[in-house]
Amino acid sequence: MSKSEKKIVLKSLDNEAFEVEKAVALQSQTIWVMCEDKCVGNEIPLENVTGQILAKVIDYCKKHAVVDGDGDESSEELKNWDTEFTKNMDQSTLFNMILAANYLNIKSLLNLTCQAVADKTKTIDEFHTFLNIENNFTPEEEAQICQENLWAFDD
Amino acid sequence: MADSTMAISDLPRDTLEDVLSRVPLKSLRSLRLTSKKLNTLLKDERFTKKYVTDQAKAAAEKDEFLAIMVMDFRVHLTSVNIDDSGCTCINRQAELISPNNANPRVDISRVFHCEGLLLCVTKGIKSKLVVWDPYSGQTRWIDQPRRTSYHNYVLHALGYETEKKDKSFCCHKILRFLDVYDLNKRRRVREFEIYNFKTSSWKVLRVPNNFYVDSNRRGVTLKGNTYWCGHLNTFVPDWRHILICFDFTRERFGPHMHLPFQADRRDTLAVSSGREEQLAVLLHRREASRLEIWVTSKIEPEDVSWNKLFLEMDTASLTGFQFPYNTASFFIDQKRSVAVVFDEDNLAHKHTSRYIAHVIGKNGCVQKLDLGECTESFCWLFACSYVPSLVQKEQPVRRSKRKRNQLVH
Repeated sequence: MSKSEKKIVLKSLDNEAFEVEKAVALQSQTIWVMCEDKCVGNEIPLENVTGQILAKVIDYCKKHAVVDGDGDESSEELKNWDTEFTKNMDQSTLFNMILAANYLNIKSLLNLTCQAVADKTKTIDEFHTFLNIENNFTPEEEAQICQENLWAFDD
Repeated sequence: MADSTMAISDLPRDTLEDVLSRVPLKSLRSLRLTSKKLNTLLKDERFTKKYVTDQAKAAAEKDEFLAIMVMDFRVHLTSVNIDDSGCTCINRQAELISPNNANPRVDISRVFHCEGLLLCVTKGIKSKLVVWDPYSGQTRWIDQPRRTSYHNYVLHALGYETEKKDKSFCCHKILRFLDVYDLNKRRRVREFEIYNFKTSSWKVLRVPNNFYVDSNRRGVTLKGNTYWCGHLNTFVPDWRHILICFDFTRERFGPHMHLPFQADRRDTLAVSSGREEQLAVLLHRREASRLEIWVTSKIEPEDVSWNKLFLEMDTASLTGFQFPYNTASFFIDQKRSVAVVFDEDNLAHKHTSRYIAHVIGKNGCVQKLDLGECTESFCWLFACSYVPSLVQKEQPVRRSKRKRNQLVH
């Protein structure tokens, strides 16, 4: 296999091009299928992902491809890397990462980002702010839900 | 598209469910109160099934299981980790509260678990029965059929009848019974009643009086039916321990079944559930200071067979091993051949006592865990593993509005 065949170019929605090792990109089932179909050349357009998000997705895939390849890093280290990776992402980035992981079909990244959103929310207020949701209940509706949830497990 | 105004509700339905099914049980109520869309989604039965499955999968990956514990009349949700060496961690995750009340504390004297549903008996003379589904958040308040001066001795069990036409749908029932000998009146007092969730009514049952189940004796429900350790004859030397099952479909007690051991009247017996719907029985031989745990190979309302002894140990070496006669509780991890046995440590010199868990492996006691101070008298620790089920339940609150008001107090 020549050197150029091992590389692949991913093009984002806003026309940013990323040249990556094929092994890195193929963690995405979507890209894998595209390559299998041979319907694309060396450049794959990804119409649903912006450059900013794609860069992050590639970071993740690079990290995970290396580990799968030589097995140098322990799963513990990889877990810590994953935690750091999502730790400082704001909610919008996380939601976009979820959409990207979903579109690109990278299961482990989808798991990681979904878990990160679930972990970052605990109280009702946190849910409102972090999940970017407006409370659209009338007082009566809110009372009704409270009535339906008389008991709860809480910290 | 990366824009700062993106909200969780902009995610496609499947992905949104993927996120929400990772939210811990204790956050579900908050989530329901977040928005109409989320509340509707969380109420959906399809989502609840996904939630239960995903949570179980995640717990299995972490080698963790959930347990319910009652200490000091408070109900705790805990996570239990047992590693390959048998080393055990018990972490309290959340506590049952009533968030709408000025005082959110809920005092519960007893809990009975049936595949995710909790039957709670509130503390006090005017005790109420509450069936709570922590996953859907719904509570169903049930009046006791009668007041009794023997309320401390009443036993409750939650089970279900499986619909013949559709095995995935079941009708829950509560068995309430009292079997005491009143020394003042010199007579045996027996009351058996059954509550049906479909008809929302109690019915008196006639039960043959050829066996006894002591008050406070805890039972366990497997495949909808409840099993207890009971006994024949009240007086030594004819005393004999038996296993007895209440069949919730036929609404009657099954035949007396044998236990894999002979035991003395003063010995402690307790039941718990093992993996794959097995029944585990614990026997503590008081005289010999010996603890044995047996697990069934087959269990049906009318038939039982036993595996060889699962675990045994000499309890003489355990300092302060009290082990209550009637109210003992424990659970087992068959994969690692470990039992976690709950106890109370009375520190007489300090006038306090502490809740304790003894982790017992094949080679004896591995670990003693301190679960905190016991401040209330007469509240023995109760613990059971908490595994929800995917069986469909009757939905009383979805009926007419008038009925809902009657049911939810």
